Amino acid sequence: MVGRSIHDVLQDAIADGKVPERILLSFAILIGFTGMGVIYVGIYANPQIEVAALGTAMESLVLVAVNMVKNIRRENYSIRLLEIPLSKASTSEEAAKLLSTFFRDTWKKQ
Amino acid sequence: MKRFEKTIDTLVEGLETGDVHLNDPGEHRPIVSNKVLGVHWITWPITLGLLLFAGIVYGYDLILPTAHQSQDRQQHVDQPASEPHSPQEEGLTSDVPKHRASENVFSIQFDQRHLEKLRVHPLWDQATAPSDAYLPESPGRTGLNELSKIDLDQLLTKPPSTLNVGEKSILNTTIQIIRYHQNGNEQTMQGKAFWVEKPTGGSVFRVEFSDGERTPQKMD
Repeated sequence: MVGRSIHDVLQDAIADGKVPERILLSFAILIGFTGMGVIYVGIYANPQIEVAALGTAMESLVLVAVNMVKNIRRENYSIRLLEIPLSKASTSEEAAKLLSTFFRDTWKKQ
Repeated sequence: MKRFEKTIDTLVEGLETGDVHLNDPGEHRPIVSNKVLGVHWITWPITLGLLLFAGIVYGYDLILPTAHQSQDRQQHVDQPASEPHSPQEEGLTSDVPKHRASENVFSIQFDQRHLEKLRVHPLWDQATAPSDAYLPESPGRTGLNELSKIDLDQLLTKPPSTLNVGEKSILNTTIQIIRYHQNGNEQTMQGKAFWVEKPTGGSVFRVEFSDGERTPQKMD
């Protein structure tokens, strides 16, 4: 059969989100451990509230990164769920109409 | 959610033009598992771990200020050992790590910031004299469970402003420190006190104990 299947398109879309997801996770781990070190230094090695506050600020960046990863995964989940109704369509026209009238219109209204 | 919209656009366009076709029946079954929700396994452990770490660090600092102060007090070796210690001294310092027990000369240094903390320490009132204070060291951290009795009047004396980096300003006083060991022994040591200008700026108060001056003696 010529062209890609719906499954292939969805898999590609999901794969597109993997790279930023891994980059963000790497940043989260890196910033997390660095922040812990800064907090430790700010309390014990060089007791200064400014240094400890800097470490805390860095730790808050971890939460931001993790939250972004969470959004990417949620988006992947939504994309993967598209396959359920599309697999029940009997023709391509019906599937396109399903997407147009339900998902896209509903999504844009939101 | 741009990727989601873009995917729908691609699908709609592809289905209308024929570039994208329906899945072959039974070829691809949509797999929706909890794996994509694995974010819960990432988010919560990391978040809770960070909160736990912050709680331990800050809690330790707030609830146990005495333990924190013990960290502030830095002890270091000024020169390696050259003579064996007497059996009496070895007995009193049996719970001290060997590398420390074999020191000939060592020093204890304080920052002015740490000295100010001593003034508000609750153990201040338990000192035997108004000018004395106890500087507790947390058990289990250094192998010592000691309290140090120091003359705060001297500690709080401002250093001369004419000091050069590394230059010492010896005070006309002898500092006495009583070390309470975990084995119940007590050890009185006397050392010379002086200020040292740090390379990074500011001065550090330092008490240096020579080998002859740290001869232990029993306290009543």
